[in-house]
Amino acid sequence: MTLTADRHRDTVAPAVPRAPALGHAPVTLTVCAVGVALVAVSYAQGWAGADGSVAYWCGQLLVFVPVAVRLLAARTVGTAEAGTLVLGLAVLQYLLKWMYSPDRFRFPDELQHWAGTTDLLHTGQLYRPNEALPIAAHYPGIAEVGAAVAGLTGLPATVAGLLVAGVCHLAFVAALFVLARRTGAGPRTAALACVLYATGLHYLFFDSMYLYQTVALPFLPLVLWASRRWRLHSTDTLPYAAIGLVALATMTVTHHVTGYLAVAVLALLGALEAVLGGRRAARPGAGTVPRRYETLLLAAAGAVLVGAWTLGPARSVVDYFGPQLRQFGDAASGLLSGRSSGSTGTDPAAAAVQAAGLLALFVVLMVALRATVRARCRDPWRWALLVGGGTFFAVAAIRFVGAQGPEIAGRATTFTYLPLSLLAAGVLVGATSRGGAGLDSGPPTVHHRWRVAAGTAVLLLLLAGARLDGWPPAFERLPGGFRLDGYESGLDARSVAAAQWLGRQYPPGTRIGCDLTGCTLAAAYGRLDPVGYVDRVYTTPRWTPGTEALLRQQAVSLLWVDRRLGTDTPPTGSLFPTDPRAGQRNRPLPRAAVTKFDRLPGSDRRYDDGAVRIYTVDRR
Amino acid sequence: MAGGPRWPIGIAGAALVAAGAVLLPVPVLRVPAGLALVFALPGLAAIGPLRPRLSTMERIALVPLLSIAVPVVGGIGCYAAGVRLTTPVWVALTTIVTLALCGLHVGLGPRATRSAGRPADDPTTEDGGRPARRGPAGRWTARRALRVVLPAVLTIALLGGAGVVALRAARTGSVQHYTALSITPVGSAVALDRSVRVTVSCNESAPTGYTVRVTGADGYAAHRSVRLAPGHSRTWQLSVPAVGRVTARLYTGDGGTPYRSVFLAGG
Repeated sequence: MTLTADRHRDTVAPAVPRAPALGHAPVTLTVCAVGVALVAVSYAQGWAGADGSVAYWCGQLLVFVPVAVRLLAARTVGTAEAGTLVLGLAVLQYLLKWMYSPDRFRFPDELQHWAGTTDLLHTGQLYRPNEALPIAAHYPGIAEVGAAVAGLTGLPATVAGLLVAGVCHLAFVAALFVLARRTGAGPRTAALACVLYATGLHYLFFDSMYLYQTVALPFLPLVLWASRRWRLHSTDTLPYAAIGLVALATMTVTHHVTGYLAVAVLALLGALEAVLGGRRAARPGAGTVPRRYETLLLAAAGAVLVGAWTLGPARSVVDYFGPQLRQFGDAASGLLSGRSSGSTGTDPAAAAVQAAGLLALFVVLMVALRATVRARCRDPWRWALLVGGGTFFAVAAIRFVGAQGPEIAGRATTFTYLPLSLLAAGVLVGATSRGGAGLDSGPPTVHHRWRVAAGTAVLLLLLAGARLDGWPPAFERLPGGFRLDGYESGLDARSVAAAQWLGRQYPPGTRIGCDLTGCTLAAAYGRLDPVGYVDRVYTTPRWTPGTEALLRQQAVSLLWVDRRLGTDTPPTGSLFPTDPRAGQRNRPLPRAAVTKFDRLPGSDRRYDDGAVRIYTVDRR
Repeated sequence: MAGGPRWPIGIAGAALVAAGAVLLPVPVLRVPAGLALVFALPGLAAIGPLRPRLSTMERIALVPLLSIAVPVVGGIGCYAAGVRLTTPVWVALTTIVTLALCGLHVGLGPRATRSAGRPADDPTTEDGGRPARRGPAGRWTARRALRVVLPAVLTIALLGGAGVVALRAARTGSVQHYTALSITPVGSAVALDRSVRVTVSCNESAPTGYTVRVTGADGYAAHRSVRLAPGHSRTWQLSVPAVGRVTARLYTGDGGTPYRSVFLAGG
């Protein structure tokens, strides 16, 4: 078995009938579209307050399974059919994300970038402070594309953002497909790699949102593709080098982590190509890979770009990551020394499904490693994929470290799942190609059917794990209904109206104390500076000199008070962006804690909609 | 240009037409033209000479990504040169980059054409890179058209229906019925008086009658009544005593309990 399950190009039998151009792709995608319709019905049920779980899960499976089965079971899949299937799946899955919140951005991170985009649209200036996400001001790529689309088309920033995210999502899948093809994978393997990647924790939502990572991500496979095609002594050297540099530059100014990882991956690949290349493989058929330095050159160029940007306009990235890394380090050392028990709160059923999926992936990694070692393969790409696959499991362990562990691990899978998807696709195609699925064989054998069923089961397991533990979280898997300080479900119409009122009344940068939803909205719609770490002000039942001093010390001018803090329990267990009791708040705040704001000496209650109240703070 | 590639002229022409359409105030033309300028034309111009060696999927990936890179990298360059990133600048940037790339390829045209190699491995099967032969199976027959067109029509209909259902559900499901009351001081206190602005915003399910009662120091009292339709608001500017707390209470219908209340501390 090979990792990519490719046969040599010359091994095609001349009598093989050609597969039709699009094959079964149109019919397959029509069946998938029924799944999209079912999910739309489940969302409508969610908005209406009904339980749409059955329609949701049936729809999710129906969108995914036909493409997976077709790719696993087909005897022949042409590039056109494979490409149509994966691009179609990408479009359909993006529609699942869009339909969740089709009229406006509700996810906090999307609102942060929406705020930056509208600011650029109105002022024409870059690097302006973005109170919603300060670091985003130094990575203006997404705001530039969003503002360009909105400015050129005249569409609202929200619609422009949805279009940008959709195009980038689609381009990412296409780039992943062509990268796999360029590394020697056949169309079926390349398509299956894309389908496998679609079972990633954050693929469906987080990686399709209007976020700076979504715009930067497709340039990662693109720069790897360019590095594969670039030959220094070829007549085409300039265009491919230029494409690689443009991709690196775009990533650098769009998203920090993607830029850093691109340089790291290029350096790893380049080093492997320099070390492993140029020598004949130990076994015939394992291939000879010439030594080349183009990838290392691109890595060096990327390091210069990323370094210059980080030390120049984006210096604050150090301040952005510093506290998070310290917090993570503390949590890790606490876990290792036994002082803390790690993160909690995962649903046992979801954890079991995820564990089974991880186990399956680990088996796949071991199979690929064994095949590579046995073949004494010196292909740098294969070894890089194996290193990446190992990194996936190392990073997956982060989920047990601290309260932020699951989120960090989930976000990291966006990158670490890439090599594992490529490896797993090769193994799955190799496994399902044996036993009667070859071009020269007759009807599929029972063994082949079993293998296809087993492959489909693995994919379903991974998909179920991603939906159960990925985004959106279980409590807001279906849209609709208000949940205090939830993510999308915490943003209701009255809170948005209150934030818009703030934006009309107060100058940008005014500091406001707030809970999680209040901070998100006040920063995005009001352009105010959210102070999300004055939890003591909210949780104490009465005013004390300490709380008043805290407000003065933090220069807080306004307070966002949601009266539902005293009646509702947050489903996340957290009430504030920086909450010392994150994940542990399992009851509403005391009533007195919420009503005490009326008695704050010298303060005004400027706004009241029955739930959200805005108070000014006397700073004398 | 004789004997040279024709695609640069086509793309350059399309870029100029799109730029003109964006600058004209015709929304029907502006949307596709703007999308073409951001997502397609610069990328098409960039990959021009490579096209024969790129597969369809490579083009699908490269065209939007290289196009997107233009506003991202070019925007930073323009801003560094002191140019504010307004709509005319986006038009100029995307159009000029497209034209420049086309011009470059026209200049290098014959060389680029010579270096173009074998077409990409697009029409291949899993097992090989053999280019497709246009045999009977490759012809656009009525039966084949039916196999593609009918599912495509069904798919579009299903997705369109799903989109409409989702959009309607989100719009109706996210509606909340509430009324907001706000009070803001206007300017600074002058002598014994200060001005405040009291606003009622109605988001109830039906037209609602409101009464606002404003009280303050020294027995100050004022009231205003209004009937508002959903989505409407009403603002009053009142002169109130400069010292002492000023409270505005909102009542609906004949209710004796304040529905909302806001206040300003003493001046």
